[in-house]
Amino acid sequence: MTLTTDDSLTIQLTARDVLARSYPPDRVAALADGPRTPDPQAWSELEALGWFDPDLPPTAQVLLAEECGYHLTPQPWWSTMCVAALGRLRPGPAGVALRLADGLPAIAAPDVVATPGEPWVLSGAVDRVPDVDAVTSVLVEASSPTGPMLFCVDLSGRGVVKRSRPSLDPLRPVGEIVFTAAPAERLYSGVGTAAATAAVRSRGLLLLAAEAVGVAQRAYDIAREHACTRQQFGRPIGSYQAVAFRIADMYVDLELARSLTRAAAADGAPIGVSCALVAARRAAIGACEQTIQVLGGIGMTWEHPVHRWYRRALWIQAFGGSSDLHYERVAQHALG
Amino acid sequence: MDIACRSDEESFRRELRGWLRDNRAYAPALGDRAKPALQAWSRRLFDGGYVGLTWPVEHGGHGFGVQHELILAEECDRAAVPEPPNVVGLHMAGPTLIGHGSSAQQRQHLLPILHGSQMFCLGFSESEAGSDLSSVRTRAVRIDGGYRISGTKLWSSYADLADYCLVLARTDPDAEQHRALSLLLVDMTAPDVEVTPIRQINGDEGFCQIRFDAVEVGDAGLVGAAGAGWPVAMSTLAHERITLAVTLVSRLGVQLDRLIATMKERGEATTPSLRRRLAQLCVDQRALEATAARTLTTIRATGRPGDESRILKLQWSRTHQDLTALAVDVLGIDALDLGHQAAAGWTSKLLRSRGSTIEGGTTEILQSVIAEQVAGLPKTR
Repeated sequence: MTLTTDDSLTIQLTARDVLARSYPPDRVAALADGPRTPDPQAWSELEALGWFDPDLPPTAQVLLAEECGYHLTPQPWWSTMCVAALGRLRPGPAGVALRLADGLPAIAAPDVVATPGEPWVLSGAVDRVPDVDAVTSVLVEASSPTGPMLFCVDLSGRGVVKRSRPSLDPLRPVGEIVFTAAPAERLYSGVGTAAATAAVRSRGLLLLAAEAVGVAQRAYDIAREHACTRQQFGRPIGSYQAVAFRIADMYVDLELARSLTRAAAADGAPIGVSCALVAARRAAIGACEQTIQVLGGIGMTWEHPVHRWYRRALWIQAFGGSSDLHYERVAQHALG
Repeated sequence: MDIACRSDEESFRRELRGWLRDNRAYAPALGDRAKPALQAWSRRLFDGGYVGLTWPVEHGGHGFGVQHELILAEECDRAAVPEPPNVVGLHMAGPTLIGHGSSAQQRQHLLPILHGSQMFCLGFSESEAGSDLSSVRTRAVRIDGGYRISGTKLWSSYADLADYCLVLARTDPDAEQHRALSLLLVDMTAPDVEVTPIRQINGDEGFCQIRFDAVEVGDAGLVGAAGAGWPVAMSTLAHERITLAVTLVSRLGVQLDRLIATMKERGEATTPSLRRRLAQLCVDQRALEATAARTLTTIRATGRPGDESRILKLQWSRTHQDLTALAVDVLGIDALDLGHQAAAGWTSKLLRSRGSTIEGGTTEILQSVIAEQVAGLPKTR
């Protein structure tokens, strides 16, 4: 399915409309500070909007991801879409246990052992699972007598203990799952496992890049709104070039990242995803930090919402392999 | 190859590559500025069907999209031959005459611009009017049947080769700033026109000073209405903005390939700090390419470029500077030896690259434009 410019705009504006109504910044702040409770109604609303449509191409998914980053949607849409890259989706939010192996995220891991049977059962622990408290199933790689395999575990089944931990970004906490002979559905084995892992990783990182673009966009919008209204020395501070140029540079970085993300979605090559991720991380962190600078004192308060986005930018920076690693992939691709 | 075929970008590229293979022997060397050689090459390119690619068909062009210009730029760069040398004529003066010129001016100049038999330059900037272009002081005094022009223009590319100059002059000193200016076509072969090449920091002579000493121009030389020079000049520069910006971006990929080759030749492909800088350049170049593609898609869909097009020249200039700087670092101490061929090439490009953030809109002006027109901030100072 090729999206026209009009199709893309429609998808994005519809998403923006829905999320802006449901998740204004003060609600996001309240959700971040409070206990995390599942919201099945909000989840059904996203389903009704077609956000989990199997025909939704990556070029449309990145637009939705941008909006999720802009609004800091608390729904575990991102982790579910990682799993959806395999083309199989269960009802309810899904999670994916992604952990670093050889520096790049792989679905964890040899610590979890699968025992054949009717059904197969898993034993072991996985850590740093995003949205562990909000998802109903999780994708896990386990080692079996015949090599690594990919499983889906229903977290309401027996032998599952979840432990969420206080997180830098409370809107996407990471936590641990301990399996003790937990029944699991086998999805991939043998040579299919590596390809499935790569597909999940690639989609996951692409959508994180897009989310980071949305984060950068929000920070930029906060900065320019403040620069237009805040007055000092008799003028809006945005009329001082030291401030204005920071905001202009934010715009440049965010649009470059946006271009890379959309191109990576259209093209599908993993190298494009690495480029998009490093650029989007830089744009998001940079925009948040520069926005705090433009805000001045109030940017340093818990009360002002900008740190919510900064935390999300830092989350995306920390998850998915270091930028150094991704740059090295780019160097490898160019130089061999 | 028929028109429908050529309009397909891949077919066009294949055809062009073949033509370049067959005709490159006739091309002047890059950097050769001998006018007869440049004009002969212009004519050959025209006869091959590679000039005026985006000009309207009714004015002698091919009516293609900007992508065809990009392909031409890339392939000429790859083949190490000059593009159609009448750059100002083709991308600035010509489109200005198409948009604002009289039929007589179009008849007199458009086909010769395409052939390359009339080369053009711009007379816009002055020593006291660079970023603040509307403060130009060159005067065009009204005389019977025309104007008398006096003043000095600076930074005019190709003025030493030009047959005609598009001059922005003050025709009405009493009128409000933006209604005081007119655009005039001046014959550069007139005796009262004095062209002095200006030597650049890399030793090249690419642009010039032009002194007009009471040069007389008839009414037929006015482009657009008297007093309407400012909006016409702005449209001339706006036309450059997108086409030249995306062309520069498309050439960046070729330059990056050359840098990679240099790194490998010198055994620096494994040096971690250089690898990291190269990776950043790859990301930057890819981002610019993707942004240029978005711009072209938006133009195709809506007829106008989107806001993101405003970052193209600004970001290109930074990346171009970073690229040449990395190349020179790769050369190490060999960079000091102008007898070393790669060093001479890259150091010249590095020196020249310092002008990228100045010409075609300084970085500071471009940032101000983004701040005011995209971010909606108050007028900045």
